[in-house]
Amino acid sequence: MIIQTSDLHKAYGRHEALRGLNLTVPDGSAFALIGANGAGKTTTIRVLLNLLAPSAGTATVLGMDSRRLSRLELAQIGYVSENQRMPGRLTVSQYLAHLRAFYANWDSELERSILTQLRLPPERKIADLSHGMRMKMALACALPFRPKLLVLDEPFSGLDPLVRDEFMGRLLEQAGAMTVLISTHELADIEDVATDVAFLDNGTLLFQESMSDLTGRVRRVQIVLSQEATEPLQAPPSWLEVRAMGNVLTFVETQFSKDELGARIAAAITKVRSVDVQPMPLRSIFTVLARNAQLEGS
Amino acid sequence: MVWHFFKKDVRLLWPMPLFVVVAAALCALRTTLLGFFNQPALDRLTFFLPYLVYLGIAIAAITVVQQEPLSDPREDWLIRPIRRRDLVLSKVLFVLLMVNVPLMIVDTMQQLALHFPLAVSIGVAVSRALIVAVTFSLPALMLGAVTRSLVDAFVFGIVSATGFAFLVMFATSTLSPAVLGIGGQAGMTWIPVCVAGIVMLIGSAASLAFQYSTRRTTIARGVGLAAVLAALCTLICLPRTVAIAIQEVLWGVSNNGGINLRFDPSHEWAHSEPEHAAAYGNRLVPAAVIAARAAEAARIGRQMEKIHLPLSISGVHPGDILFADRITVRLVAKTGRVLYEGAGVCTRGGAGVGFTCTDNRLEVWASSADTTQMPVEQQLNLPIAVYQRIKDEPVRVELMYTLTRFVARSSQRLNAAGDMQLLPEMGWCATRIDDDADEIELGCLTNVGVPSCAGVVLEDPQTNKRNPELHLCDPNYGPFHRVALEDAVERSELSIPFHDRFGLAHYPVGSAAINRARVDVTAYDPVDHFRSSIAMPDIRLVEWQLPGASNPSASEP
Repeated sequence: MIIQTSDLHKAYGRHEALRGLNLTVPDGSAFALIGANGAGKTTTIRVLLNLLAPSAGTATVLGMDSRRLSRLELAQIGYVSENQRMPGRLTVSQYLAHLRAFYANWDSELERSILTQLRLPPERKIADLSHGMRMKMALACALPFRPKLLVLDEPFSGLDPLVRDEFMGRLLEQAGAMTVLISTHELADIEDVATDVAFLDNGTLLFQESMSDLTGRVRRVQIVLSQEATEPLQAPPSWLEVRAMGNVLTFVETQFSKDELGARIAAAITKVRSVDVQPMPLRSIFTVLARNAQLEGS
Repeated sequence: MVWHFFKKDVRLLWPMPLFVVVAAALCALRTTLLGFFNQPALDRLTFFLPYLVYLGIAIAAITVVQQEPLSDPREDWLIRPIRRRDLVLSKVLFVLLMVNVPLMIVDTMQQLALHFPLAVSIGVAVSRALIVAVTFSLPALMLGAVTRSLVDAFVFGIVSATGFAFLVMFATSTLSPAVLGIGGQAGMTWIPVCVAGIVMLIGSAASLAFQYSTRRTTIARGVGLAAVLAALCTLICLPRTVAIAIQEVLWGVSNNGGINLRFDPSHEWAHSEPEHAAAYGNRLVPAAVIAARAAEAARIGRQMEKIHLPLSISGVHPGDILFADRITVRLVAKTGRVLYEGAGVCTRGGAGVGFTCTDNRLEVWASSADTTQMPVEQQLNLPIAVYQRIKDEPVRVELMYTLTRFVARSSQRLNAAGDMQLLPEMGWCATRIDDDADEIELGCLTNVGVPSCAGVVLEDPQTNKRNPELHLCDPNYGPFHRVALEDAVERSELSIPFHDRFGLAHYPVGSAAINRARVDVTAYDPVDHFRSSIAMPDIRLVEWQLPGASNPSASEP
């Protein structure tokens, strides 16, 4: 595992941002950390990168305790964040030249190619760049040393679709063997990229699994009945957002299994005329699970 | 990596050190333009320049640290493979090389332009640069490291300074000066200054190191504030007894230095207070301030009683000065009970805040050739309440002296009516007759501070007549010269009267001889520290007041 946390806590005064987080990020994965605002995604990343000290628990990154990350580990970590602060007085090229000295394996050719592809103006001061340009700049500063781990914290926030595409395009080109940890709200953008996903809610990990498992186990089910539909009194706990309208009953099955679905339906509902099972986009899965988590929390 | 960061900071921030250097150069120019004698108009116009230099240093130091801020987790540099030690060293290097060293060069150039010797000029410039670096640049770096922006730093600095001011006000309004250790330091002032500097150096360095290694801003701020508070406390409250003890260890104290003091009730009242000169320095004091000072002095005077005891001193060599750094008085009742012990009277300020301490003093100038038994008068300052309580009862008075002997180092002469010379002990000095034609103005530009004691006399070489000698004593026993924070070159002024317009005083060297008269300046060096004590059995304090000198409040029922 390239990242592992164990019972990680982080409190800001009385507010607990992380409550016993146990997270494992497999080597070589494109790991999506999703969750609502205030779920603890940014705090998790900051603790992992030793930007913040945990209140309790441990985190290891590249096999090293996050509190003891040395230059050796940091030289293998790229970081892009929506609110990353770079020195505004320097121009794009000056800052890249400044960073070059810190990385033994900085690839100047790659740097040039990224600059060209992202259309970053080398002589413009960083302070004069737009938000989108600054995000591209952050990416341009994170890739040329070919990091082993790339951490992206809300990288798409505030980006227009064009910039987002450019950003993702460059990222995918570079991804290769590196592990990418990405926290985002823009689930559509990572749906085709992410191999693993973890869902954070209120500082705790609700689940963590591979993307294929998640999309495979969560399905929208629509049942047409021969009579007026009512919400079943004994619906299985894996059914979420159960709704009845006319003679149609819909719900989200969070433990979908082709073999078991029929039996579960038969146990809960009678007079079934037809059953339609559809895969769900990640955004919808996230929405359903988030809403359910909020309901359970309240 | 140190140079890598240094070069980047220089490329970005070079206008700031340039500003500091220009302001320092203007300061130097100001001193040169002001010359030997005060020019109030120019002085008022340019008084802000030294403050501008320090403001510039603070801004440069804070800004260079905040190029890579420590307290904000959003900063990009935090996730770069950067050795923090290199980073902090680069910041210190920037301040030293881009601010303090250029200031040192400006100081040296200024002194060389005034024809001071090269070696001394460099020495003074280096001392001043070190002091500014330790007491100002390093704390400014620390301030930058524990704050997020220049505005944040200034707000934090102002709030902290206000907090300290309130703390000092609270302490001085509630605690006694004895608890706070407040009192004059005489020539030992350099000791609390040095200790405070060391405390500041260690505290600032610790706070910087802690912040750069852990980024725990709150604790680093606490360490920094504690360092500043400890340095201030040391500066204000280091007990004089501790300073004397350190000084004695450094000097090696002899038993009595061959000098013997004894109580001698047989001789007449002998006013032995030396003729103190007006002052070194600036005479630009508004009348309202003079009046306020007089009122304050009168208020302080009402809170103490002065006892005058006749003493005889033997063993002082002709031409020497005997200076008491501390005179502790102990009043003991017949029963053996100690009624009072103190070295002077500290009076709380008019607003109930702060103290003014009037120490017991003894300053004996052995001017005459016969010094076998010199009669002197020892004035003791006692709190009025103590005096009132015990004035009529017989008490044993014990006086414990910590003394320093000064010997004349050199004597130089200038023509009184207009001259300019480089005097080794005083720097460049010039004389002129003032506008009223009743005083000689002696103005000096010095880079090493005025001597601990100096005697100035106006003499007529034709008749060998001499006016009464003017005495100045502001001892400094430190191993280094006093360094002015405003500038490398300091101006001092002295007025030497030779004519009284009202005809009340007659001077041996008067207006008729003034054009051929000379000013003789003698500098004195401290050479020996020692202790001595006297005991006077069974005396009544009321009997040892100067006739008619009783404090009006002392006679109230």
